[in-house]
Parts: sequence; C-alpha cells; structure tokens
Amino acid sequence: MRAIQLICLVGLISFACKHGVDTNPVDAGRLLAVSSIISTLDTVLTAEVYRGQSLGKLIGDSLAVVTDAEVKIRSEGEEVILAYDPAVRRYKAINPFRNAKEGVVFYLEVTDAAGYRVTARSILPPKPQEPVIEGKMIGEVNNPSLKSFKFTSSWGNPSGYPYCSVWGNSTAIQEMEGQVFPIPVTIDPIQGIDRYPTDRQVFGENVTTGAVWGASEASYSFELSVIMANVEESIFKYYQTYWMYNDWEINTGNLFPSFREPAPIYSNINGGAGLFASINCSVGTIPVDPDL
Amino acid sequence: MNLATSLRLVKYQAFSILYTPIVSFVLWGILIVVPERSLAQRLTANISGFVRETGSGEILEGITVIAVGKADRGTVTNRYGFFSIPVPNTADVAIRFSGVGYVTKVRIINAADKRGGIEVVLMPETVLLDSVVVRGKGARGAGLTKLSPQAIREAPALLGEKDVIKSLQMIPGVKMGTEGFSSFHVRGGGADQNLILLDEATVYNANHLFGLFSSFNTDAIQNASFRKGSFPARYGGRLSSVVDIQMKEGNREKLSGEGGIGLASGRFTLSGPLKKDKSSFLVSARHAYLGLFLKSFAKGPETTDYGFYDLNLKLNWEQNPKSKFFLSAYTGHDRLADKTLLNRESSSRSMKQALAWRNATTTFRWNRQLSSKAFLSTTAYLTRYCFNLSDETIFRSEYQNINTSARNFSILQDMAVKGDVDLFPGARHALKTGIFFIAHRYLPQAYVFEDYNQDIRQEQKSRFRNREWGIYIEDEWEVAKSISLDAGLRLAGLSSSGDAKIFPEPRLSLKWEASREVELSLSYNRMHQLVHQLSNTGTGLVTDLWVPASPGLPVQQADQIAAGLIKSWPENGWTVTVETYRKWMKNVVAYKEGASFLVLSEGPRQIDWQNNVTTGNGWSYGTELFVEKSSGRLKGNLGYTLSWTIHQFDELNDGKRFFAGHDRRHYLTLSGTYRLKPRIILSFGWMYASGNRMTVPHGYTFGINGFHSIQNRRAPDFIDYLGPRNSFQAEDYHRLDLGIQFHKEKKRVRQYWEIGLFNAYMRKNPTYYYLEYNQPRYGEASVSLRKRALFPVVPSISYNIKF
Repeated sequence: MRAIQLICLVGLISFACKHGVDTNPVDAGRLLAVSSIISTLDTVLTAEVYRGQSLGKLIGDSLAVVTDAEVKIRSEGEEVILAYDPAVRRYKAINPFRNAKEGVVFYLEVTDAAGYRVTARSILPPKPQEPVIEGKMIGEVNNPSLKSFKFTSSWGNPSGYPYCSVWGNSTAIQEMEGQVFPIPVTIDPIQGIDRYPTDRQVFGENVTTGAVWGASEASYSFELSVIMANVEESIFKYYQTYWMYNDWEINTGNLFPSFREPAPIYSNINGGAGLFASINCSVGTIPVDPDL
Repeated sequence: MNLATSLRLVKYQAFSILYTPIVSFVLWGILIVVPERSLAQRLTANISGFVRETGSGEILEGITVIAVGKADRGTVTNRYGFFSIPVPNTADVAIRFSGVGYVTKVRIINAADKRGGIEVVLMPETVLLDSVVVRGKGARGAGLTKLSPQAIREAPALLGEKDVIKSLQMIPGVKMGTEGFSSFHVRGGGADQNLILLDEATVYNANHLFGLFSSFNTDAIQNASFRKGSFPARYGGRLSSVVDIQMKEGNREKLSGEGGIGLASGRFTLSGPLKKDKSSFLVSARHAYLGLFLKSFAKGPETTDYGFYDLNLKLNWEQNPKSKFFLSAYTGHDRLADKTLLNRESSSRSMKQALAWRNATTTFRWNRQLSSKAFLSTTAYLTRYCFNLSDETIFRSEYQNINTSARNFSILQDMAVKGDVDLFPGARHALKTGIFFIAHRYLPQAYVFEDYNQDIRQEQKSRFRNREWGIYIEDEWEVAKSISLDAGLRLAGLSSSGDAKIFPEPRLSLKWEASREVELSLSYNRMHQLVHQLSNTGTGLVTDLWVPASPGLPVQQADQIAAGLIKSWPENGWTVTVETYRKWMKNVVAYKEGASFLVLSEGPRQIDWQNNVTTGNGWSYGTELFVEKSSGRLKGNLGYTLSWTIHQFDELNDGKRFFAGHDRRHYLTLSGTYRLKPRIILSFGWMYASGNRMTVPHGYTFGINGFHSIQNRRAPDFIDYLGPRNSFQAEDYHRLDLGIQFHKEKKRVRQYWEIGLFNAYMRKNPTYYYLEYNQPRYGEASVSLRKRALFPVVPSISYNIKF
C-alpha cells in the first residue's frame, strides 16, 4: 500500500504543475464590444459600444447598444471624451489627432454604468507617400463612345510597412432627369489579393490600377482622389478573421457537424471584444476632363 | 556475447546500414550467427520450441515458460509461439507452461529434447472461465494490455458488433473521441498517433460506417495487444500507442467454423488444414446490410444505400518444424451512395453521389528458427488505403444537356520489408533486433472534373514519396532476480525530396518485482511520427487526410516518462494498477482557424491542405487507476483516469495555451461479466467522461462589418463571441450498456444468442453541437446552442455459432 501511496504522490506532484491555460471567457452578458478606428482623414472620432448577449436570449442591435458608457480616447496628454449620439447609435467627438505623427500611441477606455471597463491601445502607422496618379479616358470595348478613366496609382514604401488599404473618391456626378448620381471609382487589389486591407504592400514602389467607370458621362470636369492608408496590423487581422468567420459553417444544418475549424474574430480590446485601431492616410489627386 | 558487445556491434551496424547497405546486410547476418557459436561453449542448454492450442493448433503468444524451481529462468512465448529458455545441461528439467485461459502444463525435458526443439500444446479452459483482460508474466506490465477476443465477444456493443478498437476505450489512459466513433486518444495524443497493425501491416483507417464500427472482424483475431507506454524498440512510427492485432493462423487439425448474424451485419469464418499439421487456411468474411433498412425508409426520388464488407484470408505452410511461411490478406470496403432521379415532362435529372473507402493489406512472412537461441522472422507487406468522393450529374432537356462528374480521392500506399531476430544469448538476456524499410506513396488529394458534353477534363493531383527505414535493438535484461531492464534504441530514418534525416529513439523500461504480488515500473520513451493525419472533425472520418512529413509539416516527436505499480492478490484474482505519466509532444498538427477540407454545401472540390495546417506543441500528464477482478463468477474491471492535455500553437488562440479538444479531465469506466448460470452470462459496461472541449459561441455581440471597406464603415454587425479556443466544455458523457448471452453446447457445436442494450438508460450524449436561429420579429433574433445526440437507446440481438 505504501507503494500505491508513492505512485499517487508522484501523480499529485505532476498535477501541481501549472497548465497555463485560461479557459474563462468573458461572461457574454457582461461583455463590452467596442469598435473605433481613428483616421487622420476624419474630422470626427467615433466609437460604437455594444453589450454582449447570451445565447438563448433575444438579441438585436437596438437591444444591445450601450448608451450610457463613458468613452475616452487620449494621446500625448490630450484626452477626448466622446458623447453618445442616438441618431447614429454611436459615440462621437471632434478628432484632434488629424495631424498625429507616426508612432503616436492612442489609448481607449470605455466604462459602462456598472463600472465594467475595457481598454485598448493603438499605434499610428507610418504616413504613406502620396500616391501619383496617371490615366486617360479609354472607350469601352463594347461601346467605344462610352469612356472610362483608367488610371494607375503608384506610391513609394521606403519603410517596407506591409499593411495598407487603398480606395478612390471622385467628385464626378452624372445628372439625369434632374437627379444627380455619383460616378463610382474602383481600385484593383494589389499583389493578387482579393480585397483590402492587405499585408502585401511591398518595400519600394507599389502600383495599383483603377477606373472611374463611365467617366465620359460626368456632367462636369471632376477631381479623382486616391487615398493610400497605412493601417495597423490589428485592422488587417480583424478583416482577415472576419472573412474566415463568415465562411465558418457551424450552422451547416443540424444534420451534419461543421467541417470547418472555428474562426474567432480578432480582437484587441482588453477585457472585451472588438477593434480599436488607427490608420494614417495620404491623398493623391488628379483633375479629369470627361470630354477628352 | 555480452550486452556491451552487442551494442557495439549494433552501433556499427546502425551506421553502416545507413551508409552502406550491402556491408550492413552482411553484418546483420553475422549478428545472427555469432551468439550461437559463442554461447555453445557454456554449460547450459537451451530448450526451444513452440506452444500451440489443443484442437486448433493455433500458436499461443504470451505463454509463460518457467523452469520449475528456477523461477528466475522464465520467458514468454513470442508472437509466433516460440520460446527459448536456458536450463542446466546435466539432468532432466521440469518446464511449466501457463497462461490465463489455458490449463497449466508441466513437461519433463530430457537430454533428447535439449538437442532438438519441442512442441507443447495447451488445452483451453472452458470458454466461460476466460477473463476480461489476460495478463501473465511478460504480458503483465505497466503500459501494456492484452485483449482476448473472447473477452471482447462477451462485452456489450453497439448493435451487437463486437469491436476490438472500441474495447480499448475502457482502458485507463484511453479516451474516446466523438461519441459512438472508433477514434481514440491515448495519454493526450491525437487520433492519428495510434499505430494499428494487422499481422504487422499498418492499417491507416480502421473504421467501417464512418467509425461506428472498426475494420476488424473479431472472429478472425487470434490476439491483440495494446501499448500506451513502455514501448519496446521494435515498435515505432506513432507517438501515443500501438495496437498490434494478429489474425488467427487457421485450424491445423480439423475443419472448423464460426459465425453470427445480427441486426447490422452477418459474418462467417472457416478454417482448417490443407495438409494436416503442415498447412492450414482461414477465410473470414463480414457483410453489413444497413442499406436494406435505408432503402425501406426511402421516400420520393432519392434513394440511399450503404454497405460494407471485410474479408480476411490466411494461409500457413510449415516447411519443417523450423521453417514456416504465412500469407495473410485483409480487405475492407465501405460505400455510401445517394441517388436522385427526377423525371419531368420536359426534362430529366439524375444525380449520384458516392463516398467509398477501402483498406487492403497483404503480408507475407517467413519464420525460421535459426538455432535453439535464435529465431528469425522476415516480413514483406503491402498496405493501401483509399477513399473516393464522387458526384455525377446528368440533365437532359430540350434546351440543355449536361453530363458532368467530379471526383475527389486520396490514396496512401506502403510497401515494406522487415527482418526481426529474437536472440536468447543467456539466461538473463533476450535480445531483439531488426531492420525495416517502408516506401510510402501518397496522393493526399486528387481532384478530377469532367464535362463529357464539352469534352473538358480538369485534373489536380499532388503526389509525394517518402522512404522510411531504420534499425532497432532491444534487450530484456534480468539485472537481478527481481529487477529487469528493457533497454532499446531505434534509429528511424526518413528520406524525402532528396533529404535524409535520422531520428534516434531511446527506450528504457525498468521493472522491480518487490514481491510476488507487487511490481514497480519506470519507463522513458522517445517516439517519432513520420506521417500526419489532418482531421477537423475528430470523428475518424474517411475524409481525414494522411499526409507526409515535410519541411512545412515536420516530424512529430514525443517524450514520455511513466511510473507504475501493480499489486495483485492472486488468491482471489484482484489486481490494482496505478500509473502516472507525463508526455511532451512537438510538431503536433492542427488546422488553422477557419480551415476546412470538406465543403458539403459546394460538393466535392479541391481544397489546398498545405497552407491550412499549422504545428505546435502539446503536453499531457495524468494518473490512471485500474482495478481488475479476473476470477470467479463476477469478473470485471474499473478504470479511472485523471489527466490534462494542453496545446500551444503560435498560429492558434493568439499563441496562448489551450486545452486540446479531446482533453477530458475525468474518465471512469466500469465493465464486467457475471456468470448467472453455467450457460448464461450477463455483461455490463458503464462509462463516464468529462465533456470534451470545443469552440462554440458563448454569446453574441456587434462589431465592424468586415465586408464594408474601412472608409465606409457601417453600423456594427451581429457577430459570435467565441471566447478562447476550446473554452466550451460539452456535457459530460455517460452511458450504460447491457448484454446477456445464452450459450448452448452440443457435441460439436457451440452456439449462443445475445441480446444487448446500448445506452440502456437513454442518456442523450452530445455527438456535436449546432446553432438554432429563431427570428420572432425583424431586427431581433434568438440563437440557441443545441446538441445532437445520435444514439438514444439501441437494442440488438444476434445469433452466433461455432463448430
């Protein structure tokens, strides 16, 4: 019997080892989910704050939105308190960080009425170089009289920062029967990716292509802008995991189990869920004459 | 030749075989011959021979052979029934042959017997006295369990289908994967970390009916051993366990047969001599007819068919008492087919989907008793596993004509040769050494699409070839009267894409028999695994892929230490075993988050696996308790395991540690048989297990909708909150199975009826979980997590006969 005791003792000693696993999820009923992205282009800071909801309970955005939280963003000694705007179900404040420099750290703190607090941190990525745009009006193959403005946009990336997003805006409008329609701009993904944001921005010169479709239909000359944004890695991770999450078929049906690995959405909110991040933008512009 | 000499020789041999195969072959031959010459000079003689079963002539493994009065001069018959034991060269000696389930026999050995070999036959005790787990000297030991087919036959089972693999789930340290399926996890290892051998050939997918039944027909099995620790050097290739199954040789004395018919399948086995005492055969077949039930339930234009069969064949030929040839073959095949026919006035549509998989092994073996101290076994085997998922569509109408097919298939094939030598150089040493070579051919995924009308064919295939080779040596050394050491070294080599690597695997097992009733053991093992199985269901589905080790998926490695104690009370048949272990695993394989290899909604299609997997580390530790009663009217055992299994992958769970999906903290089993009357046996099995771990939503929240660009962020969208990986624990599992057997014996025929209840008290154990959505009004919803229980209570009845 002493030997049995000895073996049991050895077993117990091995169990005393710390397994180092934290399996305790935040209680869904108390969970705070925060979404806030600071952009050097935006005049307004925004944050959405929602309460998590447990399985089995009725859920909906109007039920989950948190209206009485204290939302603070601070950086370099300046603190901004965002106020809740019921019209858009969002906390808002004037953005004082539009001229923030690369590497500036932003701190988010959200405290709900019950005193439950979540925090997050963001570091502003390097400012990208201003994109250079070149393009011309080209007739469509099927309809040569309908021309689109096809362009290339190039920018340097001397720091080799990999995470970016690119999009375009134009002031082009088309007037038809007294109504005004904006003419859309498309930007093709770079380096064979499907969509932005990407981690494929290369060191040195980057080039992408795009078009203002049907630009010849624009009523006036317009300005095309290409916005180049270096985004934080956390944004890239959030979007990547969101796309995977969307493909996750836990509810394939109750006849079969899911054959796909679970895909949790990335979060960088301490004690909660969601995303707090920043993007640093540069804008390149070019005037376009639809009659050329 | 002493141990040091042997090791030096083998060390030289190991390096030479790696670099100069021809020279090594010669040296290997020398190794076989040398012991006989050097030991012949001693004053002892070696008695050698074979032990067989009376009536059938089947060889008996694990029979204890002891020179009476010289209890330290004992040995155990090897897997071919061979033994060699040193005895004094001066007088007649009494040798005792004993094994659980057989009547002990003492034979006096005289001078003539010492010169030649002997053959001993043992009479089986009556079937009803067989114990659940057979143990004996050598067979008894921490980390080793021998399973008798008879015990498996007596235990209750799902639909009455006796299953050697599922019976393992009642052993401490072994945990089931998903409910009802054959996949199992040993001491924290993955389902792919179990080496399953059938007559020495590897069986890659031991499942029928998606894992509800195993591939092995119990009627064709002679014996099965299971190891979860203390791995001898002759075993390798997997990290966690070895299931070594040997088919029956076939009755050498008379024609005999057995069979049975149940709700799910029927089976029949026939064996007999081709030439009495010289050659024999065995044919065993099993066929499932579940398709008949499925067809009877079919409604509308859709019909579903399912069936499986397996076939075992074995031939033996004894050239002379010292030279024997064996040929064994196994094939098992499953096919699930779904057919839909829609005929309308203006069109007709025919759709066929089929999922089929097949295992096949062929083993050729030549055994040669080289001397009274040396036994050679050479083996060549071929094993092949393939699955095929196909989809055919034919649509004809006035305007459209479609005829397409898509096929997704996978093939894995091994060709191997190996040679093993058992050497008995002295009273205290039993050496085993061998070499092996395996050529692996993989076609993990192949996809073929054909449009017959457009004459289009698209094909994607990726082929891989690996060469696995190695050498091992082990010595069972009786250091002192009560202390034995099993030390071994295995050098496993892998050649892949022009790159060759050697993986040394030291093995050490120390036993101390403190008394006749108490044995303590300590072991250390290093194992490597050169193939990986990719699975994201944990159910052992045929769609799981076997893929080779590669630079992106390096070889898995495990180090395990274990300490054990066995205390027995022979007078009343009680034995208590306690073992504790700790295991470190490297390069464990898992899918990346969001990865999948099977998309049911889109039909069979190619999904790249190489970029969807990741590797990490694992740890497992625990303590196991096994209490066994092996005699009397009531026999049974109780097993309990308390264990932890932890994983850490850089690419999963933000690099933080998490519990493995098969981490079940408590695992309790209780099983047994009670002989109510001489011909009536009651059996029961009860199991309790903590719920396994999985990743499911704990709740919901709202976040940025990732389908809108950053600049056009919309109001947050409804998303799941999953929490840390595997932070959800499923409901605890427990189940009671009951069975009763009514035996009847006539002059030449034994028969019995069996009635069984699987999950007798209808516990709804979760097989998997899913989400159920309910939207009472626009903008609001309720979502619930529901479990799916596949097996409520399943009754069974079967009739079995043996003659």
